[in-house]
Amino acid sequence: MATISSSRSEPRSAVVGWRWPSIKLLPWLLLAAIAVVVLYPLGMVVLASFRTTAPGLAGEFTLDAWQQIAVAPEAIGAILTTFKIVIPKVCLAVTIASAFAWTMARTNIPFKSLLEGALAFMFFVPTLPWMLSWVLLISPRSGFLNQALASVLPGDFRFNAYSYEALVVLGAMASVPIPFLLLYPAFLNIDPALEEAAHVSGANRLTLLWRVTLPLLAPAILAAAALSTVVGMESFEVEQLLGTPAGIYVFTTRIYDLLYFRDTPRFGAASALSMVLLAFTVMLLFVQRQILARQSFVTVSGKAFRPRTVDLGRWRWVALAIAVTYLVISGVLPFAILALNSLMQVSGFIDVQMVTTRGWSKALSSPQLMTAVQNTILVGLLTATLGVVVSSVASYTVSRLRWRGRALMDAALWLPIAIPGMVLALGFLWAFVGLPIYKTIWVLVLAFVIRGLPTSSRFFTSTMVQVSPELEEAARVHGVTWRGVALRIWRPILQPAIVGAWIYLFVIAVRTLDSALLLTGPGSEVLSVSIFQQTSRGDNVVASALAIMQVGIVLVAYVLARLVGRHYLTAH
Amino acid sequence: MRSRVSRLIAALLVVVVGAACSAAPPAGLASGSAAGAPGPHADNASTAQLSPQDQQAWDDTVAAAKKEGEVLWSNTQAIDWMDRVAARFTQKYGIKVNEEVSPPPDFNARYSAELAAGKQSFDIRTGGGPTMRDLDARQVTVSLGTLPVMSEPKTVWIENPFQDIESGKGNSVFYSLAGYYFLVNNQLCPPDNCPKSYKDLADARYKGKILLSDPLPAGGSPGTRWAAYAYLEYGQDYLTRVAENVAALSRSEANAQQQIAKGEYALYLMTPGAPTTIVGLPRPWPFRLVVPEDGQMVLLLGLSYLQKAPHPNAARVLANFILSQEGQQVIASGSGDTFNRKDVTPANPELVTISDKLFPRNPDTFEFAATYAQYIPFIDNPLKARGLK
Repeated sequence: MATISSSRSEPRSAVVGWRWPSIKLLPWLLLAAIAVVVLYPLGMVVLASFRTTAPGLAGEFTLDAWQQIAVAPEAIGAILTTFKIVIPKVCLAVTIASAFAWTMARTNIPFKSLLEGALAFMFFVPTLPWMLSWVLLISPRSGFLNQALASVLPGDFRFNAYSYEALVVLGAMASVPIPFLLLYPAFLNIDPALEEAAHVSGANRLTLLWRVTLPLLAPAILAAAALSTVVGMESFEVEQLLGTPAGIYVFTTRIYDLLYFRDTPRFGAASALSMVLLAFTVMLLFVQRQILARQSFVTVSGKAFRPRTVDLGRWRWVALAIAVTYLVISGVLPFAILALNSLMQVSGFIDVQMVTTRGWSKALSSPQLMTAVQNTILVGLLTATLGVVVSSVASYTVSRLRWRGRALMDAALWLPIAIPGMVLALGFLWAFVGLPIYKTIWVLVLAFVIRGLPTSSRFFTSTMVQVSPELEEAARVHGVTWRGVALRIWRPILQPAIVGAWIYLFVIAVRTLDSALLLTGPGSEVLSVSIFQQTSRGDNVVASALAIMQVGIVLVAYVLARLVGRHYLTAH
Repeated sequence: MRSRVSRLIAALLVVVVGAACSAAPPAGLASGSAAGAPGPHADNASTAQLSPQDQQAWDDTVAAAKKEGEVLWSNTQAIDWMDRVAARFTQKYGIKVNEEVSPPPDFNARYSAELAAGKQSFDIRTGGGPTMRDLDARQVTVSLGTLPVMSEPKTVWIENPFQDIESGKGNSVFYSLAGYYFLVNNQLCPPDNCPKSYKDLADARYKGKILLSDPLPAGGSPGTRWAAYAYLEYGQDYLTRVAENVAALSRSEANAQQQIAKGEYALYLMTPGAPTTIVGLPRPWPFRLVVPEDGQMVLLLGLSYLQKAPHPNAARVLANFILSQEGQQVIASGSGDTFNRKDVTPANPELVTISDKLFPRNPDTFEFAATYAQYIPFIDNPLKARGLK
């Protein structure tokens, strides 16, 4: 019953030689399907970078767009600024997420379920209203926090929402939930045998953490860091809202400029700049694969175990205080501002005399908005369910099977995240406009599943690489069918990953705006578009009410998913 | 390992490029031709009174519009009056109005993709004059034909809505005329220490007071048009000195208003017709509107009827309704929503009044829409030198 392989020559755990023909055929069929739905829109983006006009319009092939970005100091500056922001942001986010994941999965911190749920819930607060709340809180002159702390803050010091520091810190806070959701299941799945062995050998807690636990978690941490880096490079709302007014431009805000703020949209240059981002992502993927290829990370085997709990002693209350403070600052405070804002006559003017239900009345009395709510729920359910099936099977083929298309599948799963959302949305439009499902909720489901694949598949691969092949081999020897293996071995092991990925995909479907804006039609409106429209007309009060409804929908889905996961997915 | 990666990258490139080349929608946004559009009664527009034949034709158009049953109306930004006009129009004609909001780049991408795929869904597009005239210049629009409102006396209009049609330059009609103001915070910009004219903006006393609408080419932001008009009147040195006084740039008129009202910045150049949620604040307001002493800049807001509109009759009936007295009154009943008829009563006159004195060299004309972007570098460069862009 090996729990960890000593061999470094074995690239990863893999089940060799499934004899069922259906299993052998499945990866290729899946790769073909994913290649079509992922590469076709991406192909449109690539094509646009070599054309004088958008795909579909009369134009010529050209390299002008590439030449433009190669010589433009603005583009080069944006690339450098992106890394200047992303690197500290990711370091901070992954550090915080790792600390929380370890504390909640492996220590005896009080109220751990509550804390874990609250931190995971942070992921579901839509970024735009969350950022607007922070603008209300820390605008240099009029921010509530700056005004409230004026007598306490030293000298002329003020928090400044429009600064490099805010971009890094708020960006990291917004990013923490993703690495946390990836790392938490991995921390839970560590076999305690190695830690116990180290403990018996005299290792103290710090040595144990540094020499055993962290190396075991290297794949999950690297995957989380890589994903956070890619997500950080693709991040848009924070940089647009806080960076642009301060003259700080990154990759995505420059691309937005090229698309939205030139005399004619520069589809070619925007696509070319996106290709640069894609190149960085491919490099990142390559580096990650190189690191992971040298090690084996099997920690889950046929032996039953419970994760070893570290007793923090009195420090557990300190840990609790730190966690609660973080949650109040990153979640309660901005969410309370958002809720209060939805009850005001005018956005940003929070005062007892300004209290009104105007925003809520307007939101609830509009048939169009109610249709948007219904569509949002439906699209969320379909996206999450279909996405979990696709990403779990695809992840299995990448992390558990040896076959020639594995690297290609892995790359195909990553690709959508490497293209900024607004450019990928154009790719979806150019690719899907001819389909009968265009302007229906089904085209949204397709687009959102593709958008969610990179992250949802990470939920599964980061857990699957920890599982020893012996479990499946034993099942095969005993004549268990593949369905039996899926239900009796994988289902309980993957329960946290299934719930995490399902919720993640649901959230993607509920809050993604750019694709929805280009693909919806009459009758298929969704809530994210409605919020955009209210924000665009300056009615952030109604937008806040809708954002709370959006969060409410996700919260209900979150609770239901966890309940279903607990009752139907865990081993009995 | 290196060769494996090379093979992977090569395979990816082959698949990606192959997918793109084989699957590209056929080229095809027709240019220079109105062949696809006009639908019935697509005669050149005229300001003559409707003849009995035209009246009969219009009645037929309305009947056909009712048969079509719906119309897709796209605007550059979400606006309250769109909801109100759509509701009243549906009530009057029984034709459902599907509202769609998309900034020009989204709209252009979607419209051209749909046209190329033969799936055109848009009927009517509204937005700022430069945006509409850009559609005209790209020959995406077609003539609205003869509408009943065209037979009304010219004196009813604040600004001739059919000027481009009459001059043969475009197909857009203009439903609204908006004047620019300074929106100022009372505390940070008290009357005795606040710019009173565009010229004053360059005064070094006002350093750090100005929140400037980012001068952007797409559609022309308030900052773009200000820069163009002001350059023509006051020159490069003026723009450079104003740039020295700019505290920050804004790309959201709605947020900028709130920042002024909250006291984050002292002064912002704005157009009425932009979202005006801050008028919901209790009086006395913490802000005021200042009409510049050296004249008011203006902006026309337009409406275009799109090529291959799937509901051509409903589109024309809606266009006529928006310009009618009834439709314009619905628009004017909103706070700060601008219009183009003299025979309507605005809900909040102080927000929509057009000054008698217009800023010199202030024509929001067809030609200007095609050239204003060339003035952007004159303000962009000093802003970049200050690290604001």
